[in-house]
Amino acid sequence: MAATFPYTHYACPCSNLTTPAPTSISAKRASLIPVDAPEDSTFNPHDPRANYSLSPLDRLLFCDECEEIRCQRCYGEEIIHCPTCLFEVPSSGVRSDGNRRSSSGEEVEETYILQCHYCDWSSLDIGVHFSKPTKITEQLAKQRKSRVSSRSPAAGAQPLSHDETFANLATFYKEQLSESGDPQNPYSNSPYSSPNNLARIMSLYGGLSVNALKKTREKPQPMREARGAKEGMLMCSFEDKAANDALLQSMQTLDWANTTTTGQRLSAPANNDARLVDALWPVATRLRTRKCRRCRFCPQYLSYPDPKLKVGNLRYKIRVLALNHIPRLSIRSLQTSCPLPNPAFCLHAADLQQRQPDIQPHITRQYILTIRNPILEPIRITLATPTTTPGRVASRVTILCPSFTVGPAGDVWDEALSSSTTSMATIAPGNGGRQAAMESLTGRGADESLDRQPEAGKVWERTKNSTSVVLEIVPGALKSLPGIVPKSETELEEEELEEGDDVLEVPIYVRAEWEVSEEHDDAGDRKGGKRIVEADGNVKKELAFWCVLGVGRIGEGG
Amino acid sequence: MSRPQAVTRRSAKSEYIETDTGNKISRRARIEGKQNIMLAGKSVVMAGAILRGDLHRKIDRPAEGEKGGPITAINIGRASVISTDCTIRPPMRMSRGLMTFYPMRIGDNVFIGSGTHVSALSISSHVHIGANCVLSAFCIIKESCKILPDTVVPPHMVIPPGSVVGGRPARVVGEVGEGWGQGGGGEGEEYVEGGDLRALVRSIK
Repeated sequence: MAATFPYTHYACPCSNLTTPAPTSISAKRASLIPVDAPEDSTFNPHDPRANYSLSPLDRLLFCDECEEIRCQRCYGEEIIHCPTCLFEVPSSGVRSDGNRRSSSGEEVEETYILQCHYCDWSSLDIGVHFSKPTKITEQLAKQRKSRVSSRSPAAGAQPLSHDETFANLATFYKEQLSESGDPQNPYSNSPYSSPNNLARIMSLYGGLSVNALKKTREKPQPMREARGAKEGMLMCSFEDKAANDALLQSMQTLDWANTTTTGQRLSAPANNDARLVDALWPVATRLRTRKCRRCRFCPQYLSYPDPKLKVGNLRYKIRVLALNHIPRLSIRSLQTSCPLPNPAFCLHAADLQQRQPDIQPHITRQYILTIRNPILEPIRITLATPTTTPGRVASRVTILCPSFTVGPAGDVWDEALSSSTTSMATIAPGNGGRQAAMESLTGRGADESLDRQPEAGKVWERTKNSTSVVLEIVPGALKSLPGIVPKSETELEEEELEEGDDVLEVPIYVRAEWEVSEEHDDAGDRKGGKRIVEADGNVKKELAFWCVLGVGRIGEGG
Repeated sequence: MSRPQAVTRRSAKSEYIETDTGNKISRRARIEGKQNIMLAGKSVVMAGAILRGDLHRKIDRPAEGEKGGPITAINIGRASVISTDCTIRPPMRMSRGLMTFYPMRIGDNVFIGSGTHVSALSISSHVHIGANCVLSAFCIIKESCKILPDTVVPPHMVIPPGSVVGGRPARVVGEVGEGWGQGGGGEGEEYVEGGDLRALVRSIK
């Protein structure tokens, strides 16, 4: 849920909530009872699973083969090339620092340390310094090994280090896998495909009997776990009381900030046992990779950054964004004459404090829904929304004009040339003559916008590549009215508001249809021959998706 | 005979000085060393912003034949917006007993939120910086990043391109979406984070 209203989230068709599973598959999986996917299910934005299929527009890609939206779960990632290290500084916030020269100036002994500029930790705290500023990871590893090995003979019988334990465990599991074995293994070389076949043939031709065969065949041992330190098992013992006591003592004297968090302990195998912050070992930052995205269903590249260029420049060879292919929705209140300032661009400190006012329940409010068309053909849009919003708080939604067309997006030049004339185009035709001329000079006439009433069946505003229609929303109340009969426990529980229930979200099903002339239909060509060509040489195309408009928060009252 | 009073041409002084290249600089911005600050064009410096162009590297005496060119302390790209009450100060370091300043470079389409302290060595293009952040000396911010409000970026940190960074100290908490910076243009959404900020610059009056 975005923190700022209004927002628009688009649902990817990948989840069950948006697209019911095809009936053939659900028939096969008899155990899989589709609980909430009947034929015409409504998308419930308050469903806890809905969050996983909704994304804002800038996170969506579009596959033009499948002609579907692809969300982050649907585009598999392939790593093009790694490493893309930032050669300036290998780790964030920590850097090599320090030449220490002797005061006499004769002998220059240069040593280097790691130092954090934020919290002033330095590697001198753990007693580590480096002889040269390069290959820090190597030097660190060497120092770590020497430190661990110097510690272990001092303490007597010590458990093996993590690396050795890991190596032992890995070899142990490999052995187990080969021993317990694949049933196929002994027979992969022979012409008999199964042990039954072999036994049958053997018994036919004499030779060892089936029973004898069974006995001599080694019983595959079930796979077992490691049993000792040599096989890789790491035992925690409570015998080492002295060390544990010392640890507990130090935990009591030092404060919470000095104990390690799980995140810190998991950062490196060397740190897995560190309980106190001063036992942590520095870890090198991970290298970053550049990912290319492919559609999960058809292996089409959706986003392919150019691997040749240096890290600094993010250029793409292929990038197919959803916002260039699907109609984009946005909503704003009818009462405010101009779009609200984008809260991300708060220019003044005072604006930051402003909280958007809550919506009062039971008062009809009108909103303008604008659909923008990014493609080069005019599209016909059909909108559908349930009469009451699903979820705990039911608000009534009416779309005054559910079916309309949106013009095509022009080239950049068309937009630039016509930007001076759009202001004239958006004004409803006045009386002609002087009034229209005055309005075009002063912008939209003030009277006109107040007098216009939204009418059912008519679009509110139409510009070159966008159309606006009016939505009427009556927000529901958060609490139902007290009734005469006292409610039972379960009913009271059901009525409790959960987090996010007071957000007014309207699910809208958008269907766009347009026609593409046959020679421009690249995707159809690639799919090969399945499209239906109309009489005049156009191919019909259709795209449909669910979309959730976040309108605001419903306040108490009324 | 008294002269008739000169008619005032403007009733009120506008908030912004507009230069030939389309930069808008607020009259309430505090700018030192303005000859060492380069604004590429169509950028905005809002009220209360402090730009320290006077903190620059002192050039040594140029030898014969060497030209002593102009020193720019702060370089700001096109269509960048510096909001109210920001402080832009070139990063400085004590070396060999002398405090030296390094030139700071800010890219195109950079939005710097209100109240931030910027001492970064370089900020690349299409970066969106939230309000009340602190970018300490010598940090480097690469392209298309988003810095959440109230972040403190420690000195010398390098923020890789396309990351979302937040917290104190700043940590990379995510990546920007694929469509970062796209989507401006047309009505309604004239400018988005990381996108072309010329429309925002035009709307600031």
